[in-house]
Amino acid sequence: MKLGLVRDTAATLLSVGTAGVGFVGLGAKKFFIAADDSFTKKFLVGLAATVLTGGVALLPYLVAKPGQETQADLAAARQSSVNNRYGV
Amino acid sequence: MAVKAPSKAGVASAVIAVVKAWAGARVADGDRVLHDGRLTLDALLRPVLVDEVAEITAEQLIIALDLPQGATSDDKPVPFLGLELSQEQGKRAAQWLTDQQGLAAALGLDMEAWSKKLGDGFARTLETLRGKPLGDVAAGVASRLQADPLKTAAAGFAGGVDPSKSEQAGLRGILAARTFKK
Repeated sequence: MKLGLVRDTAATLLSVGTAGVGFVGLGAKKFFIAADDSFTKKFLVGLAATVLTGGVALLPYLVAKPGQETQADLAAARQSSVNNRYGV
Repeated sequence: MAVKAPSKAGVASAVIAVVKAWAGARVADGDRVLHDGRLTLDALLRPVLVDEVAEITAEQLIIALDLPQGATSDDKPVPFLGLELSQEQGKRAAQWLTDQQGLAAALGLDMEAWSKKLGDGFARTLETLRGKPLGDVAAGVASRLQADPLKTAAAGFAGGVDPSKSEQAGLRGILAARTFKK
């Protein structure tokens, strides 16, 4: 999927407001199944969740490639949970 | 403020070994390590692994939101689960969200099944953390999740869609823990 189409999808969803929920429930489902690159699927998961939960503020983060620092924060959080759980 | 739950006893050592290998793997390798580790387990232990990963992943979000915010006064707050996060917290929440697809695949589950497992994991984790000192945001997330658990929150989604009958149930479930606007 071209990034332009992704942007168009986002623009459509954002412009139609709550009507976007219906779009996500139909069109994005087809996109999700058909999409064959992980970025697009991640985007659609995030897009659906963002729109369905009524907030668009997370969208820039879902479009952007994840920062190494953010991934490291989450990895550290997971490691902390595992250490607490089973002992180091 | 550090979130610290009591250590878990009674889990098979083989499962713990897989979980530790997954947690210790490089970020890019985590899903593959989990997938490969799951396949080494006896079939009876695989559901135990799923439950463990679900609880750890639920706690991971709470811990990640509890990390230092690195916020400045100019930061625009990011709404999530009905709370206002800092920009850094928003990035972590978004990354956590996107990670769920890889985790589901590594565990051999579809997104809907993983969403349900995550919901159960949140419930157990919050029960474990009950009474523990949490930072403001983590406490807020815990409060929201306790008030509107993951598995049932989606039913309150605009129009009262039944998540079990919805095509989008799996996707909704990922963030269904939020308090939906009525």
